[in-house]
Amino acid sequence: MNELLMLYGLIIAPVIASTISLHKNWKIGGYITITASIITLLFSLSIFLRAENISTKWFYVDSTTASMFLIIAATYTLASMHSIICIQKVENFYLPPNHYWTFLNIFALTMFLAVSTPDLGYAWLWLEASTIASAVLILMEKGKTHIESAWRYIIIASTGLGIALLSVIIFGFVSGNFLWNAHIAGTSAVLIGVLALLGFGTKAGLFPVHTWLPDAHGTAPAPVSAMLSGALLPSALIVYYRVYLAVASDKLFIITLSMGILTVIIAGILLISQRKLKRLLAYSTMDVMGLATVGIALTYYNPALIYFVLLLFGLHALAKSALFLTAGTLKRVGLDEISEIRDLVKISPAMAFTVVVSSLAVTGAPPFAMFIGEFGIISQLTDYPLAFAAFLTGLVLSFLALNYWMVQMVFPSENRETPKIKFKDYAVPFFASLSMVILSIVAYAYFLWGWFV
Amino acid sequence: MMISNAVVDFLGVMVLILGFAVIAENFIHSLIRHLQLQSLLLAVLIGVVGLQVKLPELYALGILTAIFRGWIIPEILIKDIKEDEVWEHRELSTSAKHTLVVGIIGAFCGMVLYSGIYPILGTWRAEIPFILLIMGLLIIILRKNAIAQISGYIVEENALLYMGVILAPVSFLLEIGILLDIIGAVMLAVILSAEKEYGPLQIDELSG
Repeated sequence: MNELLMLYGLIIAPVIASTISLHKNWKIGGYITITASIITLLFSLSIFLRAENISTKWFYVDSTTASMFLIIAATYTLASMHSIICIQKVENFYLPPNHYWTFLNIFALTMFLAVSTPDLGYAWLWLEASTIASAVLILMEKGKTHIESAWRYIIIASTGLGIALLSVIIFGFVSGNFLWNAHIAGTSAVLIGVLALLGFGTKAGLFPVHTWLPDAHGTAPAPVSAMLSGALLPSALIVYYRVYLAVASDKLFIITLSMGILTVIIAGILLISQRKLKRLLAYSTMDVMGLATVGIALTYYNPALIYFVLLLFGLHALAKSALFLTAGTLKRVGLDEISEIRDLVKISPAMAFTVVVSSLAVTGAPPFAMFIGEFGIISQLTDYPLAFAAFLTGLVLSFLALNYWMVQMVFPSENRETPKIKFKDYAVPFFASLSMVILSIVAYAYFLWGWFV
Repeated sequence: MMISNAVVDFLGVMVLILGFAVIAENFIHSLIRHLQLQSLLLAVLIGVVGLQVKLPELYALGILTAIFRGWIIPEILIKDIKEDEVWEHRELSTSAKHTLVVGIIGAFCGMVLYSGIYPILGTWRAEIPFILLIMGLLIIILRKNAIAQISGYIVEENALLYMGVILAPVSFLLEIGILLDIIGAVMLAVILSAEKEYGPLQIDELSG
């Protein structure tokens, strides 16, 4: 099968699944969504392994897009598999349950389209469409906090994307078209870059426009939080990366780098004071997005660094999905606050393994492959001692904060009753963390092979 | 071309004045009517630009703007507030004088900022939507009530469409217009259903 057919398959699968999911029986929607997500995972894996560029009027697929396909499809698969368990536990639906599957498929579709279009206007359009789909998913459960979170998310993300649209309009005005392979220089390039950073940065959760992030991640159903964190935020950053490629300059490099470093430091500080597990994970996502932004900034001098950023996104998608899905399972048994969660080892060694492995991986601890990504980015920053010191401080803060809370949760501290949780309730995050270990081994083998040969 | 440019600029000034009216208004009912008039004027403006550049997509966008933002959204909001006694009184925690002063300062800042952007764009015709955009953002930040915040979002949408039409009138503006309207509709659905269940949606701060 040729690449273009696989690409169409990747796009059509969620379209068909979202249509069938409109059927009143939500189980039909659930199983068709899982099937569609597995199909997209197979197609994206095949596109990734073949490593051939596709360029048409509507699609542009290079190694960056192919990697993003794989990341989005993997998160979509994990989210849809866990959703079938998660949705049965929801007591009060705000919207009919079959709509959950429809919008989950639309959400995945908009991200596939946002990262594969060669046109910045349409990339903006698909990212904005993802706001609608994900906002509806946040609203699935009844409750005032869900409504307030969805409202904050829509109003802040849409306002931010409004600024991104302004950058796209000026991009089109200056370059004469909206294709991101244009090259713009001078003052207009800086203006476009700064507006795009602020606009797409809002969607990616960068400081100071990150304020929707903890609420939306905290109240969304766990599989939706996993998709927001593992797929949507990286997709927004990749769209910014495309703009950055077209308008990069010394000034924009400094601005992007500063915003990335500030995001890492602020996220590190905020991580220390969190009480709720899902909000803690949201700020950890903000930390990783800051790290990736620093990587994107550095591609101005070393374009190959984007592969480290993509490796970071890949591992983060698996690790953060595992953590969010586990957090969702714990929330369903009434364990929402970090201080209430203790003795995970006693509740289930497999769940404790998931939490420890995923939190170590997401904070870039060796031997996990995210360490390679972090190390690759940090090593390029040594020419800027102040930035290096500030960046490292932020990373150390977030490493200590997240792992401290996770250790508190995992190991026994006092005798208290632990709830009983069935293996099927946390099987998906467990297998996600296992696959992350395997991916880390593959990544190390690849880099060591390149080093020795 | 000269005459139609003058018509577009005149309509633009009217759209901007209505932006000031939206930012200063305390009564929800009047606020929605100002917004309705602004959207209708923008629809005419888009139609005139469509005639200038002979792009059928812009006619469609103008019609869509008139139908959706000039008619459907305002009428639904008006119907909603008539059913709820709380809107017979002034909008809570908002001082008209205060917001108008902030709006004027915001507009002045917009003018200063635009003078920095002018050398890049080479036209003063995008200054009005730029100021309008800043006013939309100010409304979203200054207002605490969800219905008032949606008015800020619609002002921002209007400003972006206006700027897109003036600077880069290409076909995907129609898709953008449709999408922005869908977002407006989703926001509206959230507000209306939330109010049915929990009363007026007051968002103290837009932070997590």
